Amino acid sequence: MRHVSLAAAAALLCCALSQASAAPEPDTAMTLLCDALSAPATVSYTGVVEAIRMSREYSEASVYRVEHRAPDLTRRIYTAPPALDGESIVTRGGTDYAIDPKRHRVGEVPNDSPESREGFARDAALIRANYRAEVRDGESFDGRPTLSITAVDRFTDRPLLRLRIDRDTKLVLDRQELDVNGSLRSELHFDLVRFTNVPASDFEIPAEYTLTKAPETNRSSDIGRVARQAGFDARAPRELAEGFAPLEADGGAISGVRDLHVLYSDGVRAISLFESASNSAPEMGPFHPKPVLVDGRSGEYAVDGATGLLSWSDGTRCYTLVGEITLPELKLLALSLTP
Amino acid sequence: MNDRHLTPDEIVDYLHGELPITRDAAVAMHLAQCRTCAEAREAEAALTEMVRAVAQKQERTVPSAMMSSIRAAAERPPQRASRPFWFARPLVALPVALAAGLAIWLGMRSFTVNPPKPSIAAGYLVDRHAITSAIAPFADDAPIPPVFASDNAPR
Repeated sequence: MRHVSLAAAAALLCCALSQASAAPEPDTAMTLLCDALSAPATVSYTGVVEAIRMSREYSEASVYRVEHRAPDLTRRIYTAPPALDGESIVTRGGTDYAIDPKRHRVGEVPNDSPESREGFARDAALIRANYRAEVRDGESFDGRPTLSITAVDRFTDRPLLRLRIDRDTKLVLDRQELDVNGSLRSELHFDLVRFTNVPASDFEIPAEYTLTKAPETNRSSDIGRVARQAGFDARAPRELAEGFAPLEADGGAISGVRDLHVLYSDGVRAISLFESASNSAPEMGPFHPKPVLVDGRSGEYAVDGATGLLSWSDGTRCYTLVGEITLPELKLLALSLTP
Repeated sequence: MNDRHLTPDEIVDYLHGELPITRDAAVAMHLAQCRTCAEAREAEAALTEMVRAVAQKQERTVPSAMMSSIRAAAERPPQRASRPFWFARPLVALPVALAAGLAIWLGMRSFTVNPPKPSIAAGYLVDRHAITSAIAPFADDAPIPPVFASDNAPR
């Protein structure tokens, strides 16, 4: 959903790109990546999208028709899985509306915090810092000529993201996320894509449905402020191993325990760090955790689908890392938190 | 083997690894070919898992201090043989020690053990990560978007 709210970021992108073009060698791959990120802000289209995500335990998939009107209106109408058949999500700028026609109700959820849009140049910088991109020309996808781009992690030298980008419009037609072992972790691809104008009336929210708004959160890219207001002596967020940088934070109290949640990204992957004022670990029972050592301290590791959880305590605080990365990488990130 | 179904006892013994090895192999082959028995095996396995889960929930742990003192006592070298006082003779001392130990343990549970610490369900953390990580570049468009996750999503 991020990519549909990029109009405001276009200028920042140009800035990032001009920095890229000032480099000694033309950074065509990175320019192409940024063009792909910003394409929906200028291109209207319709199509059918198939998305799948795989893990050891189970996989999930969906099929939906998508209609997009540049710069920031999108409607996705689901046809699969059966539980979502007929439901749709309309994105209007920074807000998602989940429309449930069976129950005549609409859920309103912010899909982006206002500040984070300003972080778009930073995202480009993160990708530049942590990945090198390889471009291949002369391919086609869904009958259209494409450029193929592979983002290779500079730390592990492994490809983690592969995009097929429409040569004319720069829209991403196929996106594959790869595991560190090279296996496919998720794929999202277009079928029957058409670049055409879509009437604005397609994105109206049914006025007669009951509207429910998601509760307000204190999510912010001002991480230091959120940490100071966490209600306990939270550890100051810092850069983690493998180029993971803090993007956003939110804090609160759940079951009487105050916590600070910081979202990190390396430009392609995202992980969450939860720091809890309580010394007690999260209840991982349903995920069948196994004991592990984290920097000499006992901890627990569990997997929920493709998502790994690593939890440990330093005696006064409990930390939990959550993300779609392997246990060795989670341990590496945990070690980089040690003062 | 293939012309009759397995008995419930055979299935239970198979699940517990208590069959002789040749019989075990024959049962495994039969289960691979017989849908009825395979379903019975699944049902039995599910029941066993449920019983185990209930048992684990009700399991109580002896305090580590008590365990270590028992171990220390067991490893202590035997004292010089001598006739103990009447109150130290096993017939008297053992029940008294057990009763005292039990009283101390129960006392510790009642008065010195801290109340259970509050804890957060790990699934909640996974959901929170899924919702917020959509802002990361290229991390959006999950097959089942988080906005559905708490409603009809087939998770």
